[in-house]
Amino acid sequence: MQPEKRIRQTTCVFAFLLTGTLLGCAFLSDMNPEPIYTPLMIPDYNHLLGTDNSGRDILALMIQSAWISLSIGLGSAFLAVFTGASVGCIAGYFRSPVDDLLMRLTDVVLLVPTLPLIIVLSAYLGPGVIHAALVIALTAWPATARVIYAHVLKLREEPFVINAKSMGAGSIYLMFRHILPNCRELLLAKAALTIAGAMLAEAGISFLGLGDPVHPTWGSMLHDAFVGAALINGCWWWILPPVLCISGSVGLFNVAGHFLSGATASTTPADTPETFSSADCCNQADTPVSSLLSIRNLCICFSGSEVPALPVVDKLDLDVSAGEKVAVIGATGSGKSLLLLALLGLLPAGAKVSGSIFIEGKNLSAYSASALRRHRGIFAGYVPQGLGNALNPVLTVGFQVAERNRVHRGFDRTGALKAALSSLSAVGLPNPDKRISDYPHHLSGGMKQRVLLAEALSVTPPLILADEPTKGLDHSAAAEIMELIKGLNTETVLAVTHDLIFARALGGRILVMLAGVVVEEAPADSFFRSPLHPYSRALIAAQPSRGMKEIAGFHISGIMRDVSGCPYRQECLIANRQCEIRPPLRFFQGHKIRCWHDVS
Amino acid sequence: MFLEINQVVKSYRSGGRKSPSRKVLNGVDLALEPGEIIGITGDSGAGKTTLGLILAGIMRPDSGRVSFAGTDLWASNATIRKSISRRLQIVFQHPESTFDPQWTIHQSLSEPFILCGVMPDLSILADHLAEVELNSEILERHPRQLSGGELQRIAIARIMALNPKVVVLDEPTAMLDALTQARILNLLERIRQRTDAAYVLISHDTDMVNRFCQRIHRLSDGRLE
Repeated sequence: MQPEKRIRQTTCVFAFLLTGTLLGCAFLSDMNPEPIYTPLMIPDYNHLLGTDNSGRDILALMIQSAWISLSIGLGSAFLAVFTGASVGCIAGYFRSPVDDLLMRLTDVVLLVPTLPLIIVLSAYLGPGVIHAALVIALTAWPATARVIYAHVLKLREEPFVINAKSMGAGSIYLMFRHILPNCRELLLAKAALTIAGAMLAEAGISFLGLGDPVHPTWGSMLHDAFVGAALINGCWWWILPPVLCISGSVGLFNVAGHFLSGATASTTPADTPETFSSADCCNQADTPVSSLLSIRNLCICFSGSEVPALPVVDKLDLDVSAGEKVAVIGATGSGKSLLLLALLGLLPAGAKVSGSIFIEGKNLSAYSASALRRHRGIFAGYVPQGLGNALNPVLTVGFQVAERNRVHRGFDRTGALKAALSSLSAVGLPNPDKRISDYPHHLSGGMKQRVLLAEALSVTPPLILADEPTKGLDHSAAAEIMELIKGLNTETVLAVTHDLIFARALGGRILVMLAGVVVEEAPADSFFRSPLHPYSRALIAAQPSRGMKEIAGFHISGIMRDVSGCPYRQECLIANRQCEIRPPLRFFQGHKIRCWHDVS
Repeated sequence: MFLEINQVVKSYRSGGRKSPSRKVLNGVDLALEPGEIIGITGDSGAGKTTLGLILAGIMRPDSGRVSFAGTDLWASNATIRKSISRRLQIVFQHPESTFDPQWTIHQSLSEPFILCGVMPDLSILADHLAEVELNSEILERHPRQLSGGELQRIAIARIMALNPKVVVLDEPTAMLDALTQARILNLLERIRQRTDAAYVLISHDTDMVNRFCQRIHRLSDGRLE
């Protein structure tokens, strides 16, 4: 993340420096035609780029042209982005009938072939810097309008916009305070790309001889060079500089645009983040063990400039034997979901991981990125969180389940579908032979969860990783999914959940996490009968079925996310000075707890 | 009755403009008294959120009447509608998306005051944060630097600044753990006792709704039971 960010910033700075320098040069240089020298002089000390057939110094001409070329590029890009952004914003925000009118107009302009339109309009309007900028802007705005329109459509439905609206915010306020600022990066990226396109279009017009003869540009220099037979006469110094300048500046603005649009696409998961680098967070311990899953000293932290790199998961050790069911419960943001993603090597970009993970005795850190990708579905089946977006809405359910069989087992289309059908009936999807050709929106929440489970189980992985499998389901559907997961007798399940009823029903071991550390580990029965750690007690007492008792309210400073003390010490009723030192995970009455106190 | 909806109908089209529409709400009646807490449960896709948006005065029903203190919301002019809709507020399920990602908490929390034409000073904001048991140190942070529980509390502090009469809670704790959920619901209860606002809690967690609400309705087939 960091180097990428640096490259982006450097490129943008470079692009703006170039613009500044060229504009500066244009002001500093003599704007009038230069003294006439001998025509077609080759480059020497006095004329660094030689002269053309009229005896003009090419370097001076280049600097003068730079000013015009860039002005046309910047001017038309400004006009195009301004028009496009206004049209996109107004159409996207106000919707029908303004939307229909503006977007159909955009479609019509998009349909007209750009280059012929530019040529016809330039010929009609005649030469001139302002004319050129206008003609180019007229053809360039619809692309920006489309992109901004799509973004505004999404933004106007965002809860923060709806919230502001319900507080009495008017359209102008929403547009200028919420919508446009959230389009800023997109607009910058579009502007950089439009400058590149506009400069190229201007070069094209001028090269065809439709440019302004009074104001030379890089394109018209090329035109002059070709008309003056520079190529035949071997006058490379006349042709090369404008060609290099056009391609260099267009390329630079394009790169800047792409980097900027990359910056707007936020946290995409890195295929392999800085995985298993043993440095930074804590030291690595190498202990291959006989259990199915074995995690040693796992640390995950995010390197960001705004917050200090505190571990999100801190020195976690965990062993899960074959057939065991483990439920990880705990506070929101305590690193539970990240733990699952770390096991799959799918942490978001910017995550730093250290420690070791062994699945069936194989050390995941030994896998290369491509080997990890091939093995991902095989060593662990992942049931992702979120019923709404975990399935692809444009593919049938059957296709999505069959995909795994095709990728991992090399089945052909029919074989994979047959296998998908048997996986779907195994998870109890009603009428699987009919449902197989349904799309996700045809299914209820419970059915979608079954499909996700069928997907994870289809390659019979030794380990199932489930992230909140009952979230968003009503009671009966949640109970069915609970039974289904419990019934996976031979499977090893590691489930992350907020649903304490599910955690209890799973019946295996409970792991309680708080601020990245495990504070209690115990068998489910014993844990729900008598939780020991003060945080676990508060968590259990707060269940609606137990009367939502609040043992201790919010502490104004919240949970302590630091590496030195007990994370619960601010809110804990029995905390004392000793709790400023992080307690070790110790055995106490059959549980493992991270607390200094006698909590019996 | 100070918030009342009568025979509210809302339908959505599943596809393009010519596709058949599905009635999500089909003649819903509901009346709220000040200080009352009602619960609305129902399966996923039953239209709970749609009903919430209609109760909060954000979504206009296809037909039917939404009235606040006897005034028909959607038959009134824009000024009256704006002043009524300030009295009806909503807390969403995903707290992180109810904050503009570019804004600091200071800016977000000041928004209701600015929209009412007042520039709040720091002590007022700190008081509002203290009410939801948060430290004013978080004012300079951005939403991505805070936890779900903290953001949800700030969201509550923000709408309470408008002194709402009805607060729709649309699965306000679905993303949170049991402890944070209990603390937030208890906090809401304390605020309700002080302000006498009416709450509409939308959730499919029947245990929680039973515990928190005085009256419970189930939404199924577009009608309230």
